[in-house]
Amino acid sequence: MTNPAPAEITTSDQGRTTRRAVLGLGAFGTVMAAARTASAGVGADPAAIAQFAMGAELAAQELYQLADGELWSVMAAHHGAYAERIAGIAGLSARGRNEDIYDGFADAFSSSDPSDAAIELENTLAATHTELLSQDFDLPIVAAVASIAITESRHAATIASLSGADLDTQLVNSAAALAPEA
Amino acid sequence: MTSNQPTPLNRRELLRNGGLAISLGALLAACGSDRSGPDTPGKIGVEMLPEDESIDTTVDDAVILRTLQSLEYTTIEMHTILAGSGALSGDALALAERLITEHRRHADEVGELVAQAGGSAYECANPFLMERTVSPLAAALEGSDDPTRDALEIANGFENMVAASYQAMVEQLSDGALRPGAMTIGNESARQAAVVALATDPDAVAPELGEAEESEFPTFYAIPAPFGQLTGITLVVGTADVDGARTSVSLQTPAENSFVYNDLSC
Repeated sequence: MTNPAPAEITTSDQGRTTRRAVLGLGAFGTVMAAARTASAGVGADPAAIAQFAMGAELAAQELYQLADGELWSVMAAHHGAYAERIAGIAGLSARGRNEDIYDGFADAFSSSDPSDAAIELENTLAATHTELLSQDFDLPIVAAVASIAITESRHAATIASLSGADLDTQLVNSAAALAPEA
Repeated sequence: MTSNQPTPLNRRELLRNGGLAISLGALLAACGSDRSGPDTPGKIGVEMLPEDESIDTTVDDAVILRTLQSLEYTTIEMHTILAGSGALSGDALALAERLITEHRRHADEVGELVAQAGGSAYECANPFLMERTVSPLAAALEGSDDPTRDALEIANGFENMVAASYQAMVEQLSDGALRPGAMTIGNESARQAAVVALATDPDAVAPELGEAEESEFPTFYAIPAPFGQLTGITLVVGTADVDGARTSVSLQTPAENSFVYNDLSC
């Protein structure tokens, strides 16, 4: 499963160049490919999907806890809240981070400026939750996932803006979704 | 939706209170004698549905997406007014023009989702919102004591309203296959809202990092809360009248009175 692609490539779509595209996936793409592989086999089991989504949020929370700064603390708290919300709705315990995501990003989040890694992480999580909306979930789950995806999109744009990234990077997410695959 | 009260009732409160008043009125009228009039049951509520009763008011996925498409065109109208007002310049004007481009692209993309849902694209602004939001805001901007302040506030308000509308309406789509496409556009709208908030005030990142001083004007944060917000937004714009009150306009996510039903055309 991949990030929803535009129905048709238009002239304006061609302007949606992002740093990710410029880098040709790069190191973060490798991390995400590893995480995607790790998620394979989950299929369409709602409990497994919830566990996967929650694990990704817990990984994000712990990655931000590696970084030094008030903004990163806010981000850590938000992702912790997402994990709790998903766990609450799915009847899970909010434990068990996604190790592939965590290991892949840990060095970048431990650096003096984790902005690029944070943008990539937020974009990927937003794309992942967005793609999960196609699942036949109950309304409370759809509502929660939509609410999380839209705020992670704000996270990405905010970090991009504050770090001086170009306007395309601020406005457009071309990251691929991490999604359970049968 | 428009008033000169600093804290107006929002649309839902008006509908609720209006419905209550009409319900009580109907009850009292039923107690009287010498009643006359049509035998058909009346509707309770204020402006809940189109006046033309022949219109099919069934709400399906196509109606939801047509409504979102109408929001895009409404927002294009609003941004076009802001960009042409002379209130914005430099980076702010360039951003407004970029937002118009983005909303045009989104309008086309939602149109494709409408077709996917079996409906017909609705390629024009939402009449309900044009009358109750865009027109009064444009009028207030024209006579404003601080057009730049008002233009930025309006731009913030519309970007947040559009993002919230996608979030709210995605939940109502019955066909899950339509949700990712709609949500992707909603996500981009949320990014636009964040970027406009920071362009207006670089310190307005998140309330957790410091709240803005109390003001009669709303503050827009790039990240207003940990979860997406669906509450209404009250814009306060224009020059204060003799009582110190300014024009206030409430922006809400779509409801029955602003839906673009399948029978409606531009």
